[in-house]
Amino acid sequence: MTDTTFRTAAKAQEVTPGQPLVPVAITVNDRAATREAIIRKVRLLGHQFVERSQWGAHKSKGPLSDDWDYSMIALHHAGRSYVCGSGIEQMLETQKNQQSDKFDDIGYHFGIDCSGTVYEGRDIRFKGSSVHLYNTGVIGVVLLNNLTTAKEGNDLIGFWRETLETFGINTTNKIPTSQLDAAINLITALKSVFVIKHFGGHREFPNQAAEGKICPGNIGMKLVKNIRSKTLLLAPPIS
Amino acid sequence: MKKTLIILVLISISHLYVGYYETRWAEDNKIVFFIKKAPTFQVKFENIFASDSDDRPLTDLIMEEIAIIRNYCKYRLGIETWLQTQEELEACKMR
Repeated sequence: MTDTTFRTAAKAQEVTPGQPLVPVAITVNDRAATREAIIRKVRLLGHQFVERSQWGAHKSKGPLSDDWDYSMIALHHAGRSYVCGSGIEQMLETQKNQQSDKFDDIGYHFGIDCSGTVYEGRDIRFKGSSVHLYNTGVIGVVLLNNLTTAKEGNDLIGFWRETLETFGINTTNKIPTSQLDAAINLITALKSVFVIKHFGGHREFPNQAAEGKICPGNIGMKLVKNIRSKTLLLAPPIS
Repeated sequence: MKKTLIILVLISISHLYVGYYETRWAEDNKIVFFIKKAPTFQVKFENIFASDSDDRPLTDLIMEEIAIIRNYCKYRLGIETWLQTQEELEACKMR
Protein backbone atom coordinates (compact mmCIF):
# COMPACT_ATOMS: atom_id res chain seq x y z
CA MET A 1 0.00 0.00 0.00
CA THR A 2 2.82 2.42 0.88
CA ASP A 3 6.62 2.46 0.90
CA THR A 4 6.56 2.54 4.70
CA THR A 5 8.98 0.19 6.46
CA PHE A 6 7.33 -1.94 9.11
CA ARG A 7 9.21 -3.02 12.22
CA THR A 8 8.58 -6.19 14.12
CA ALA A 9 9.81 -7.68 17.33
CA ALA A 10 9.21 -11.20 16.06
CA LYS A 11 12.28 -13.42 16.35
CA ALA A 12 13.88 -14.80 13.26
CA GLN A 13 13.86 -18.53 13.04
CA GLU A 14 16.12 -20.92 11.28
CA VAL A 15 14.56 -22.74 8.38
CA THR A 16 15.46 -26.37 8.58
CA PRO A 17 14.89 -28.44 5.48
CA GLY A 18 12.10 -30.91 6.05
CA GLN A 19 10.79 -29.13 9.16
CA PRO A 20 7.52 -27.17 8.97
CA LEU A 21 7.69 -23.41 9.50
CA VAL A 22 6.13 -22.07 12.69
CA PRO A 23 3.90 -19.13 11.76
CA VAL A 24 4.90 -15.86 13.40
CA ALA A 25 2.05 -13.45 14.12
CA ILE A 26 2.91 -9.86 13.32
CA THR A 27 0.65 -7.02 14.36
CA VAL A 28 0.80 -4.06 12.02
CA ASN A 29 -0.65 -0.72 13.01
CA ASP A 30 -2.30 0.16 9.75
CA ARG A 31 -4.41 3.08 10.91
CA ALA A 32 -2.13 5.72 9.45
CA ALA A 33 -2.12 3.79 6.18
CA THR A 34 -5.92 3.66 6.23
CA ARG A 35 -6.08 7.43 6.73
CA GLU A 36 -3.76 7.81 3.76
CA ALA A 37 -5.91 5.42 1.71
CA ILE A 38 -8.99 7.57 2.36
CA ILE A 39 -7.15 10.70 1.25
CA ARG A 40 -5.90 9.05 -1.93
CA LYS A 41 -9.31 7.62 -2.75
CA VAL A 42 -11.01 11.01 -2.37
CA ARG A 43 -8.39 12.56 -4.68
CA LEU A 44 -8.76 9.70 -7.12
CA LEU A 45 -12.48 10.39 -7.27
CA GLY A 46 -11.71 13.92 -8.42
CA HIS A 47 -11.85 16.04 -5.30
CA GLN A 48 -9.26 18.21 -3.66
CA PHE A 49 -8.40 16.92 -0.18
CA VAL A 50 -6.96 19.35 2.35
CA GLU A 51 -5.18 17.79 5.30
CA ARG A 52 -5.23 19.36 8.77
CA SER A 53 -1.78 20.85 8.43
CA GLN A 54 -2.74 22.43 5.10
CA TRP A 55 -5.65 24.40 6.50
CA GLY A 56 -3.71 25.38 9.60
CA ALA A 57 -5.63 23.36 12.17
CA HIS A 58 -4.69 23.99 15.78
CA LYS A 59 -3.47 21.11 17.87
CA SER A 60 -5.94 19.35 20.13
CA LYS A 61 -6.28 21.03 23.54
CA GLY A 62 -6.18 17.70 25.32
CA PRO A 63 -5.89 13.96 24.77
CA LEU A 64 -8.49 12.41 22.46
CA SER A 65 -9.99 8.93 22.73
CA ASP A 66 -9.08 6.35 20.12
CA ASP A 67 -11.80 4.91 17.93
CA TRP A 68 -11.83 2.56 14.94
CA ASP A 69 -13.98 -0.04 13.18
CA TYR A 70 -16.39 2.66 12.09
CA SER A 71 -19.77 1.41 10.90
CA MET A 72 -21.81 4.62 10.74
CA ILE A 73 -21.59 8.06 9.18
CA ALA A 74 -23.39 11.08 10.61
CA LEU A 75 -24.04 14.00 8.30
CA HIS A 76 -24.11 17.52 9.74
CA HIS A 77 -24.60 20.98 8.41
CA ALA A 78 -22.34 23.65 9.85
CA GLY A 79 -25.10 25.71 11.44
CA ARG A 80 -27.53 28.48 10.70
CA SER A 81 -24.84 31.17 10.69
CA TYR A 82 -23.05 29.59 7.73
CA VAL A 83 -23.34 30.21 3.98
CA CYS A 84 -21.11 29.01 1.16
CA GLY A 85 -17.66 30.53 1.52
CA SER A 86 -13.95 29.85 1.88
CA GLY A 87 -13.62 26.30 3.19
CA ILE A 88 -10.33 26.94 4.97
CA GLU A 89 -11.74 29.93 6.84
CA GLN A 90 -14.86 27.96 7.71
CA MET A 91 -12.86 25.02 9.04
CA LEU A 92 -10.76 27.40 11.14
CA GLU A 93 -13.87 29.18 12.41
CA THR A 94 -15.56 25.88 13.25
CA GLN A 95 -12.51 24.60 15.09
CA LYS A 96 -12.14 27.88 16.97
CA ASN A 97 -15.78 27.81 18.06
CA GLN A 98 -15.71 24.18 19.08
CA GLN A 99 -12.39 24.41 20.90
CA SER A 100 -13.31 27.59 22.75
CA ASP A 101 -15.29 25.93 25.48
CA LYS A 102 -16.73 22.70 24.19
CA PHE A 103 -14.35 20.19 22.69
CA ASP A 104 -10.64 19.49 22.70
CA ASP A 105 -10.62 19.61 18.92
CA ILE A 106 -12.98 20.11 15.99
CA GLY A 107 -15.75 17.55 16.48
CA TYR A 108 -16.14 16.36 12.88
CA HIS A 109 -13.80 14.01 11.02
CA PHE A 110 -14.35 15.64 7.64
CA GLY A 111 -15.70 18.88 6.24
CA ILE A 112 -16.90 19.58 2.70
CA ASP A 113 -17.16 23.10 1.33
CA CYS A 114 -19.50 24.30 -1.39
CA SER A 115 -16.86 23.86 -4.11
CA GLY A 116 -16.55 20.15 -3.30
CA THR A 117 -13.20 20.33 -1.53
CA VAL A 118 -12.89 17.83 1.31
CA TYR A 119 -11.12 18.87 4.54
CA GLU A 120 -9.67 16.62 7.18
CA GLY A 121 -11.19 17.51 10.54
CA ARG A 122 -10.44 15.43 13.60
CA ASP A 123 -7.95 12.71 12.73
CA ILE A 124 -9.91 9.56 11.81
CA ARG A 125 -7.91 7.63 14.41
CA PHE A 126 -9.74 9.53 17.16
CA LYS A 127 -13.34 9.38 18.27
CA GLY A 128 -15.44 12.27 17.03
CA SER A 129 -17.56 14.69 19.04
CA SER A 130 -20.56 15.20 16.85
CA VAL A 131 -23.37 12.97 18.14
CA HIS A 132 -24.05 13.25 21.87
CA LEU A 133 -23.50 9.94 23.68
CA TYR A 134 -23.33 8.14 20.34
CA ASN A 135 -19.88 8.90 18.96
CA THR A 136 -18.35 5.43 19.13
CA GLY A 137 -18.07 3.96 15.64
CA VAL A 138 -19.50 7.10 14.03
CA ILE A 139 -17.67 9.21 11.45
CA GLY A 140 -18.81 12.83 11.54
CA VAL A 141 -19.02 14.68 8.22
CA VAL A 142 -20.03 18.34 8.06
CA LEU A 143 -21.25 20.21 5.00
CA LEU A 144 -19.98 23.77 5.40
CA ASN A 145 -23.34 25.32 4.68
CA ASN A 146 -26.66 26.10 6.32
CA LEU A 147 -29.17 23.47 5.26
CA THR A 148 -32.17 24.45 7.38
CA THR A 149 -35.44 25.87 6.16
CA ALA A 150 -36.79 29.10 7.62
CA LYS A 151 -39.32 27.46 9.92
CA GLU A 152 -36.76 25.30 11.73
CA GLY A 153 -35.51 26.18 15.16
CA ASN A 154 -38.64 27.72 16.71
CA ASP A 155 -36.69 30.75 17.86
CA LEU A 156 -35.98 34.34 16.99
CA ILE A 157 -33.77 33.40 14.04
CA GLY A 158 -36.52 31.20 12.62
CA PHE A 159 -39.10 33.93 13.15
CA TRP A 160 -36.88 36.49 11.42
CA ARG A 161 -36.24 34.19 8.46
CA GLU A 162 -39.93 33.41 8.08
CA THR A 163 -40.69 37.13 8.13
CA LEU A 164 -38.12 37.73 5.39
CA GLU A 165 -39.57 34.91 3.32
CA THR A 166 -43.09 36.38 3.55
CA PHE A 167 -41.60 39.44 1.84
CA GLY A 168 -40.19 37.23 -0.89
CA ILE A 169 -36.62 37.18 0.39
CA ASN A 170 -35.28 33.65 0.14
CA THR A 171 -33.27 32.51 3.17
CA THR A 172 -33.09 28.81 2.28
CA ASN A 173 -29.92 27.52 0.64
CA LYS A 174 -29.55 24.85 -2.01
CA ILE A 175 -26.80 22.27 -1.87
CA PRO A 176 -24.35 22.95 -4.70
CA THR A 177 -23.84 19.96 -7.02
CA SER A 178 -20.10 19.94 -6.32
CA GLN A 179 -20.74 19.68 -2.56
CA LEU A 180 -23.28 16.90 -3.11
CA ASP A 181 -20.88 14.96 -5.37
CA ALA A 182 -18.08 15.32 -2.84
CA ALA A 183 -20.33 13.99 -0.06
CA ILE A 184 -21.18 10.90 -2.10
CA ASN A 185 -17.55 10.33 -3.11
CA LEU A 186 -16.31 10.77 0.45
CA ILE A 187 -18.79 8.11 1.53
CA THR A 188 -17.49 5.87 -1.27
CA ALA A 189 -13.94 6.40 0.01
CA LEU A 190 -14.96 5.61 3.57
CA LYS A 191 -16.83 2.50 2.45
CA SER A 192 -13.67 1.32 0.71
CA VAL A 193 -11.82 1.01 4.03
CA PHE A 194 -14.55 0.55 6.66
CA VAL A 195 -17.61 -1.68 6.82
CA ILE A 196 -20.10 1.17 6.82
CA LYS A 197 -23.69 0.06 7.36
CA HIS A 198 -25.55 3.15 8.53
CA PHE A 199 -25.78 6.68 7.27
CA GLY A 200 -27.96 9.38 8.76
CA GLY A 201 -28.47 13.01 9.55
CA HIS A 202 -27.36 14.14 13.01
CA ARG A 203 -30.92 14.40 14.33
CA GLU A 204 -31.76 10.86 13.23
CA PHE A 205 -29.34 9.29 15.70
CA PRO A 206 -30.77 8.06 19.01
CA ASN A 207 -31.98 10.78 21.39
CA GLN A 208 -30.70 13.66 19.27
CA ALA A 209 -34.06 15.02 18.12
CA ALA A 210 -35.35 14.76 21.69
CA GLU A 211 -32.53 17.11 22.71
CA GLY A 212 -33.81 19.66 20.22
CA LYS A 213 -31.26 19.08 17.47
CA ILE A 214 -32.34 20.30 14.03
CA CYS A 215 -29.07 19.42 12.25
CA PRO A 216 -28.62 18.81 9.33
CA GLY A 217 -31.80 20.75 8.56
CA ASN A 218 -34.70 19.85 6.29
CA ILE A 219 -32.61 20.44 3.16
CA GLY A 220 -29.85 18.29 4.62
CA MET A 221 -32.33 15.52 5.43
CA LYS A 222 -33.52 15.42 1.82
CA LEU A 223 -29.90 14.88 0.84
CA VAL A 224 -29.48 12.17 3.47
CA LYS A 225 -32.45 10.22 2.09
CA ASN A 226 -31.18 10.70 -1.45
CA ILE A 227 -27.71 9.41 -0.51
CA ARG A 228 -29.19 6.45 1.37
CA SER A 229 -31.13 5.38 -1.71
CA LYS A 230 -28.02 5.70 -3.87
CA THR A 231 -25.63 3.94 -1.52
CA LEU A 232 -28.09 1.40 -0.06
CA LEU A 233 -26.95 2.32 3.43
CA LEU A 234 -29.36 1.93 6.31
CA ALA A 235 -30.78 4.63 8.56
CA PRO A 236 -29.13 4.94 11.98
CA PRO A 237 -30.16 2.42 14.65
CA ILE A 238 -33.10 3.48 16.80
CA SER A 239 -31.28 2.89 20.09
CA MET B 1 -43.73 55.41 41.82
CA LYS B 2 -45.78 52.36 42.75
CA LYS B 3 -45.39 50.94 39.23
CA THR B 4 -41.64 51.49 39.32
CA LEU B 5 -41.44 49.71 42.63
CA ILE B 6 -43.42 46.76 41.31
CA ILE B 7 -41.21 46.56 38.24
CA LEU B 8 -38.09 46.67 40.40
CA VAL B 9 -39.42 43.89 42.61
CA LEU B 10 -40.29 41.77 39.56
CA ILE B 11 -36.83 42.32 38.08
CA SER B 12 -35.19 41.36 41.37
CA ILE B 13 -37.30 38.21 41.65
CA SER B 14 -36.57 37.19 38.08
CA HIS B 15 -32.87 37.89 38.63
CA LEU B 16 -32.92 35.65 41.67
CA TYR B 17 -34.98 32.85 40.14
CA VAL B 18 -34.34 32.78 36.38
CA GLY B 19 -31.12 31.38 34.97
CA TYR B 20 -29.86 30.27 31.60
CA TYR B 21 -27.16 28.25 29.93
CA GLU B 22 -25.94 27.95 26.37
CA THR B 23 -25.83 24.51 24.79
CA ARG B 24 -22.43 23.19 23.68
CA TRP B 25 -23.58 21.21 20.68
CA ALA B 26 -21.49 20.96 17.55
CA GLU B 27 -23.82 23.36 15.75
CA ASP B 28 -27.09 25.31 16.10
CA ASN B 29 -26.56 26.16 19.74
CA LYS B 30 -29.26 27.87 21.72
CA ILE B 31 -29.87 29.49 25.06
CA VAL B 32 -31.98 27.51 27.53
CA PHE B 33 -33.75 29.43 30.29
CA PHE B 34 -34.83 27.73 33.49
CA ILE B 35 -36.30 28.46 36.90
CA LYS B 36 -33.63 28.18 39.58
CA LYS B 37 -34.36 25.77 42.38
CA ALA B 38 -32.68 28.11 44.87
CA PRO B 39 -32.31 31.89 44.73
CA THR B 40 -28.98 33.31 43.61
CA PHE B 41 -27.83 36.37 41.71
CA GLN B 42 -25.89 34.13 39.36
CA VAL B 43 -27.78 34.14 36.07
CA LYS B 44 -25.46 32.43 33.60
CA PHE B 45 -24.74 28.75 34.18
CA GLU B 46 -22.83 26.05 32.37
CA ASN B 47 -24.30 22.67 31.53
CA ILE B 48 -21.38 20.63 30.34
CA PHE B 49 -23.70 17.73 29.51
CA ALA B 50 -25.47 19.69 26.77
CA SER B 51 -22.65 18.74 24.44
CA ASP B 52 -22.10 16.53 21.40
CA SER B 53 -19.07 14.95 23.04
CA ASP B 54 -19.54 11.70 24.88
CA ASP B 55 -19.79 12.24 28.63
CA ARG B 56 -16.70 11.47 30.67
CA PRO B 57 -16.83 9.44 33.87
CA LEU B 58 -16.40 11.17 37.21
CA THR B 59 -12.83 9.92 37.51
CA ASP B 60 -11.83 11.82 34.36
CA LEU B 61 -13.24 15.17 35.44
CA ILE B 62 -10.98 17.92 36.75
CA MET B 63 -11.82 19.93 39.88
CA GLU B 64 -12.96 22.93 37.85
CA GLU B 65 -15.48 20.81 35.94
CA ILE B 66 -16.74 19.23 39.15
CA ALA B 67 -17.33 22.70 40.59
CA ILE B 68 -19.27 23.72 37.47
CA ILE B 69 -21.43 20.60 37.65
CA ARG B 70 -22.12 21.00 41.37
CA ASN B 71 -23.21 24.57 40.79
CA TYR B 72 -25.47 23.62 37.87
CA CYS B 73 -26.87 20.65 39.75
CA LYS B 74 -27.75 22.76 42.76
CA TYR B 75 -29.48 25.62 41.00
CA ARG B 76 -30.92 23.89 37.93
CA LEU B 77 -32.00 20.61 39.52
CA GLY B 78 -32.08 21.38 43.22
CA ILE B 79 -29.59 18.64 44.02
CA GLU B 80 -26.80 19.50 46.42
CA THR B 81 -24.03 16.97 46.07
CA TRP B 82 -20.29 16.59 46.57
CA LEU B 83 -20.13 14.39 43.46
CA GLN B 84 -18.29 11.58 45.12
CA THR B 85 -19.87 8.76 43.12
CA GLN B 86 -20.78 8.15 39.49
CA GLU B 87 -24.44 7.79 40.56
CA GLU B 88 -24.39 11.31 41.95
CA LEU B 89 -22.94 12.52 38.67
CA GLU B 90 -25.64 10.72 36.69
CA ALA B 91 -28.32 12.44 38.77
CA CYS B 92 -26.92 15.80 37.66
CA LYS B 93 -27.39 14.89 33.99
CA MET B 94 -31.19 14.94 34.21
CA ARG B 95 -32.92 17.57 32.16
